[in-house]
Amino acid sequence: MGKIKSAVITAIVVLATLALFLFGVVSCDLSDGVHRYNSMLSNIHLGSEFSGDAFTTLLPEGVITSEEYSFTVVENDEKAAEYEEKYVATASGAYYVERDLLSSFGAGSDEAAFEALAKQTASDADIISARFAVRGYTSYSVGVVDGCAIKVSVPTNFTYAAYSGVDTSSVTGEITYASNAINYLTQGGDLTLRNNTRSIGEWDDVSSAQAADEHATTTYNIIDSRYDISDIISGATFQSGGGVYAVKINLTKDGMEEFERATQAVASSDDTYVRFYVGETNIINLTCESAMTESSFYIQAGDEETARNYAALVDSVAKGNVLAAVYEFDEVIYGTSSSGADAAMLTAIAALVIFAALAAYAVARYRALGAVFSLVALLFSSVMIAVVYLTGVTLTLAGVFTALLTFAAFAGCNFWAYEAVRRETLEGRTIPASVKLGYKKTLSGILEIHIVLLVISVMLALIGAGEVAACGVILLIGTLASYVLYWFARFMWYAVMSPARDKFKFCGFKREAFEDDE
Amino acid sequence: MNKLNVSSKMHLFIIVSALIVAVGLAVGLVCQFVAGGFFGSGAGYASYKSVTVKYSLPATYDEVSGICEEIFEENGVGYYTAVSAENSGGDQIEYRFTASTDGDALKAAAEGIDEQVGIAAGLLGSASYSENEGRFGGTDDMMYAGIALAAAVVFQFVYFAIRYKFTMAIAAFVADLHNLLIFLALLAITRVQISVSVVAVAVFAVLLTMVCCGMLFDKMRKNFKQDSYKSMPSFEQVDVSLGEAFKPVTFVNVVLASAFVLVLVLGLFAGAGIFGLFMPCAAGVLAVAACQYGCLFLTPAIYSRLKLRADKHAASKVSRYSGAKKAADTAE
Repeated sequence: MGKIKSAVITAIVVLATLALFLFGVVSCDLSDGVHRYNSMLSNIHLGSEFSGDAFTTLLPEGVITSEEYSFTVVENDEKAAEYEEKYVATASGAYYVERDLLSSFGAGSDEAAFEALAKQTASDADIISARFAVRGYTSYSVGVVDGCAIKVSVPTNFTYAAYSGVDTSSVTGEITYASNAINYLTQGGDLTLRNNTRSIGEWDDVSSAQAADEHATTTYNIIDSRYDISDIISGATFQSGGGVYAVKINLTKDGMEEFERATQAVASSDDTYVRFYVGETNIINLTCESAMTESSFYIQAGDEETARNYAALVDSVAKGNVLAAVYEFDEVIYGTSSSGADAAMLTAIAALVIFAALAAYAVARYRALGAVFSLVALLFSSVMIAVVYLTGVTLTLAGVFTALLTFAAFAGCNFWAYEAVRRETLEGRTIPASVKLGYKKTLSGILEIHIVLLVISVMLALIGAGEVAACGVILLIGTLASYVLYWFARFMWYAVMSPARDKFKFCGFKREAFEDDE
Repeated sequence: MNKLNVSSKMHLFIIVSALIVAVGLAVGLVCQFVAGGFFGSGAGYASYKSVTVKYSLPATYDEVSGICEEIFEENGVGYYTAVSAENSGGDQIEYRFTASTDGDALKAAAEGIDEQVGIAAGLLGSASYSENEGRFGGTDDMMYAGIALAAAVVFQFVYFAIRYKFTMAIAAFVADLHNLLIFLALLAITRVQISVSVVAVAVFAVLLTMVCCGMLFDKMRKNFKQDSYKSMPSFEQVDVSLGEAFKPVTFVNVVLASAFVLVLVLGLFAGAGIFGLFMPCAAGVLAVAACQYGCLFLTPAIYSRLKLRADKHAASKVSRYSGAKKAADTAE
C-alpha cells in the first residue's frame, strides 16, 4: 500500500473512531444555551445498582403509617381519642393497625393477631414477588415491612442523563412505567371475565360493589359459576413480534367449550367486549365479533411494558395466586441508588482505567502496533456503547463486566496473534510473511473461542431471564464486535505499517540476528 | 519452553480443592442454622432494618443528615447505605442497617430524630423505624440461569469432544463443575452477599472457565501434533503446553480481576458511595481466582491422567494390531 493511500485510510479511520467515541461518550451543552447533547453512553438504560429503584409501600386496608397517625392525633383533637381507640401500633411503631382488622383474624390476642397478619402479608408478598419475577425485570425486591405492609422496589431503568438530572423529560416516562407495573402487579382479587349485558352474565360480589358506586358501570360474570377461573384459563404469556405487543391467553379443554359459549353470547350482545377484571379493576378487554373456538387467543396491548404487566398479572391470578388483601399505595418515589449515588460514574471510571492500562501495555510492548491496537480497541468500545444504546439493553453491573469480558477476549485474541507473529519473526521471516503465518496459525483457536462465546451468548439470551438474559445479549454483541474488529485490526496494522521503513521497529519486534549478518 | 510440573501434583490439587469445598460446606451449614442462610443474603433479597426520615423545607438535606449522623452515633449504630429520594410532600432519606443491628437502639434513634425534625420541632418532618423482611423472588431467574448454564456446559462438552478429544471434553466438564463448586464454597466462606448480580457472576465464572479451557486445550491440541511432543511422556506434553498457555490465560484473568479490584479500590475512596458494588466485585475476584486455579492447576493435572490412560490404551491397540506374534505366524 502506498504512502498516500495509507495516510488517507488511517486519517479516515482515526477521525471516524474519534467521532464515534466522542458522540458515544461526551455530553455537552449546545451553543444555543438551551439544549443539550446527551451522549449514547448517558442514554443507555441502567440497572438499579446504577440508577436506583422506584419504590413504594403497599398498605392493606386498615393499616396506616405512624406519620398519618401522629399528624391526626396532634392536629385534630376530636379524632385523637377516636384514633387512639381504633388503632394499635406495630412493634416498631412505624405503622398502626385497626383493631377491627386484627379481630378479623379471630386469633384471641393482639399478639397472635399481629402474627396472623404478618403471615398473611408474607404470603401476599410471595405472590407479588412471583409476579415481578415473571415480569422480566433485571432486578427487583419485595419485602414485608413490620409484618403489615409490603415494600416493592423495581429498577427505575433511568439513563445516566435522567439519573443525574440533565434529562428530566424521560424521568416521567420511566416512573410512569414503574408505577403502572406496581399498580397492576399488586392488584388484589379474583380474575373474572365480565360483560355489561345483564342477560348473559351472573351477578356477583363485583357487580354488587359496582352497583353501589354511582360512577361505576355494573358488569356481570359471563363464566358459569360452576367453574373456577383456573378451570377455564391455564395461563397467560407475553408475546411480541413486528412491533406489536400482546398477551396470549391459553385455555383449558373445559375452558374452550365454556369460552365458546360465552363469546357466542357476547358477540351477539350490544357490548361486544369480554372484560378481564382482577377484583374490581378492569385490566384488559377482548373484542368478540364471533364465537371463539381456539385453544388460545391474543389480546393486543398498547406497548411492551403494558403487555408484560397484563401477562404477569393474568397468569398469576388465573393460576389461583390471589392476594388475601387489597393493597393501596400513595405514590411511587425514586431515590438514589442503594449501591451509592455515584456507582455508575465510578464504574465508568474503572472501565476507563482498564482501557487506558491495556492501551499503555499495548504501546509499551508493541510500540506503533500497540497504538494501532489501541485505536481499534477504542473503536470496539465505541461500537459496544453504540449497539447497547441502539438495542435498548439495560446495563447492569454484571452487564458491564460481561462487556469487559468481551473486551478482554478481543485484546487477548489480538495479543495472541501478535505473539504468534513475533515467534515467526524470530524464525527469520519478514514481517508480511510472519503476519500471514502467525494469523493463520492462530485462526482456528480464535475462531473457536468466538464460536463458543457466540453459542453461549445465544443460550444465555434465549434461555436466561432478567439480568442473565441481558448479559447474554451484551455477550453476543461483544463477541460479534470482537471477531469483526479482530480482522479490522489486522487490516489497520497492514494499512498503518505500509509506509514504515523499519517494520520490525514499528511492531516492537526484534529481528533475529544470523551469523551471516554479523 | 517453560514447563510447569502440575501433572504429577494432581493429588495435592484435589486435596486443596476438597479442603476449600469442605470448609465452604461447613461454614455454609453452620450459617444455615445459626445465621439463617447457607450464603449471605444480599441486596434485593436482604432483610434489613431502616430508619426513614421525611422532611421538607426549611429543613435541608445537610441539616437533616447531620442530625441523623449525630443521633446514630449517640445510639451506637451505623448504617450501610442511605437512599435519598423526593416525594410529593418533600424529601426523605432511608438509612439502611443490617438485620443484626440492635432494634431498640434504632427505635431510640428514630424517636430522637423525630423529636428534632418532627412536628414538635416545628419542621413538619418525621422519622420512623421499621424492619424489612426480604422475600426471595428470583427463583425463576435462577432456574433459567441454571438451565442456560447447563445447556452451555453440555454444548461445550459436545464441541470439545468433536473438535478436540473426548478426554479434553471430560477435563473441561470437570473444570466447569470444579470451578463453580470452588466459587460457591468461597462465597460461603467469605460470606459475600448473594444478589442477582452475584448469580450473574456465577454464570460469568463458568463462562470464563470455558474460555480458559478453550485456550488451554487449543494450545495442547496443536502442540501434540508436533513431532517434538510425540517423543515426550504424556505428563511432560501436558506440562510444557500448559507453560505456553499459562501467560495468555493469566492475561485474560488478570484483566478481568483488575476490573473487579479497581472498582473495589475506587470503593475504598468513595466509602459508602458504592457499597452495593462491593459484594458483586468481591464475588468477581473470587470467580476469577477459582477459574485461574481450576483451569491452570487442577484441570491439566486431571487431564494428564486421562491422557496417560488414553495414550496407553492407544498404544496397546497398536501393539495388538501389529503384534510380532502375528507377523511371525504369517511368515511361517
